[in-house]
Amino acid sequence: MVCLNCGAPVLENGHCSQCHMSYKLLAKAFNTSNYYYNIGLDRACVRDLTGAIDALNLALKYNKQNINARNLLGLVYYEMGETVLGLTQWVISSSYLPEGNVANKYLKEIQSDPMKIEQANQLAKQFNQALTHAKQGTKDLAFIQLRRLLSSYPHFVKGYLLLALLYMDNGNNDKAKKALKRVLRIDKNNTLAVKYLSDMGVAPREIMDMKESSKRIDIESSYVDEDQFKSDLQTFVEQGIDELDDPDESIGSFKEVNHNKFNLVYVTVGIIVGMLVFWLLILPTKLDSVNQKSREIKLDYSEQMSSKNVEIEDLKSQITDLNQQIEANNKVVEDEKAAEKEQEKSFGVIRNYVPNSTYDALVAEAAKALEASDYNKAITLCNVAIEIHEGEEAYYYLGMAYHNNHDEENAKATFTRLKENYPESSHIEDINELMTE
Amino acid sequence: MINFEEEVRKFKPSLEVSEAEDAIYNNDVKDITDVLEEMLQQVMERNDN
Repeated sequence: MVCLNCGAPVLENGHCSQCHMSYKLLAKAFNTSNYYYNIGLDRACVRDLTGAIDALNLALKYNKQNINARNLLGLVYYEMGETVLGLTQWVISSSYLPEGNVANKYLKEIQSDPMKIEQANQLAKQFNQALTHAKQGTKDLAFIQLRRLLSSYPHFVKGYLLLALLYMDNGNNDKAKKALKRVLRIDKNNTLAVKYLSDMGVAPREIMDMKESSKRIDIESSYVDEDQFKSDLQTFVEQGIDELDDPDESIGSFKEVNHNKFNLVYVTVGIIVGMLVFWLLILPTKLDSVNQKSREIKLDYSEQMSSKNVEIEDLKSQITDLNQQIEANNKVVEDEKAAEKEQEKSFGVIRNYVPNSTYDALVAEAAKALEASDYNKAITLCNVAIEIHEGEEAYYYLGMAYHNNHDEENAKATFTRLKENYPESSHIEDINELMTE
Repeated sequence: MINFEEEVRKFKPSLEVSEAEDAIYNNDVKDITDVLEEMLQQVMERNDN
């Protein structure tokens, strides 16, 4: 036999050879510890978590190294939302038995997800804050804080109890009862919940019914319960606890929703919504934009048309003016022609009456001017003489005057006319000589 | 009738993660074995005297 305390051999007198402890007493203490562990286990199995905690704490008082009792105590704390207390128990358990201890598995599972530890920390902080608000009298803030944390942590028994207390203080016993029902669903024999219910005048029979209803929670399908509970809690937080279903009715069998069935519906609804959005929001905007553009183009064309019309009108008026000017000019030309004709007619009449001596006199004067080298006078006199009466002398002197005046072109033309009109003239030889020069 | 002030005072703050280490190190709850060891120690000291 070895000592249950230090593992040393036990002497025949029943005492340890090392620590001198009585084997019989130690065995009794260890047995009692296991006895209370069993009670704790039974209570935990029926969700009497408060009772389980009491029994397991007793088991640890008889044997603090009762690994099973410590691990179960940690688990019960964890279930009640006291994660840090649970972790504490598992860490101590692991220090007593580092190998082959289920606490290591729990710790590993929690440590593998840093979010879990952070969430547990947040839960504790939020609850402590709510508790401070409640103690300081800022109950509204406490309500808000508790609702928020319970929506995230639906197993947090202490939160429900404080919420129930706040409701009771508020005179809202119905809501307090509903919150306490939640506590009894998690922890069937929660003494504080039972005490609050009794103080509210709830009959013992009704309390028993509430406890019985907690049995209906399907422990095996904890995931479903969790979801159902979360959904109930959401309703509880959003619509008030009165809207919450009776626990008897709310707990049903788990049915997985087949989301594939709804995929087609989702797609159809999505398309319809998209079309409606297009039809009601996008299309009118597009049409407005197109109409606006069309109006702008029309306006632009109208402006261009009006400016062109104005231009056309201007051009028409210009044409009319020009036509009038042309008519006026034609009239002036006709008048001038008529005047010329009249002049010629008059000149012809005058010429008929002018005597031949005048021509001779003009030619003689021209010859004198030519001799005097007054070529311009000679040209004028010859031209006048030719107007009165064409004669070879006038042409000759005119050509000579042009020639001497170095106007060879007119001189040549005049001589040519003389040669054509008077081929028998005595001046032909002189003219030819001059022209060959 | 429940007295809110009195009842709310009974609520203890939840343990935060930063306080877990202290809670673990200060967890020296005595069990029967510790008590027996202490008693035995005292008896042995008396006998020595």
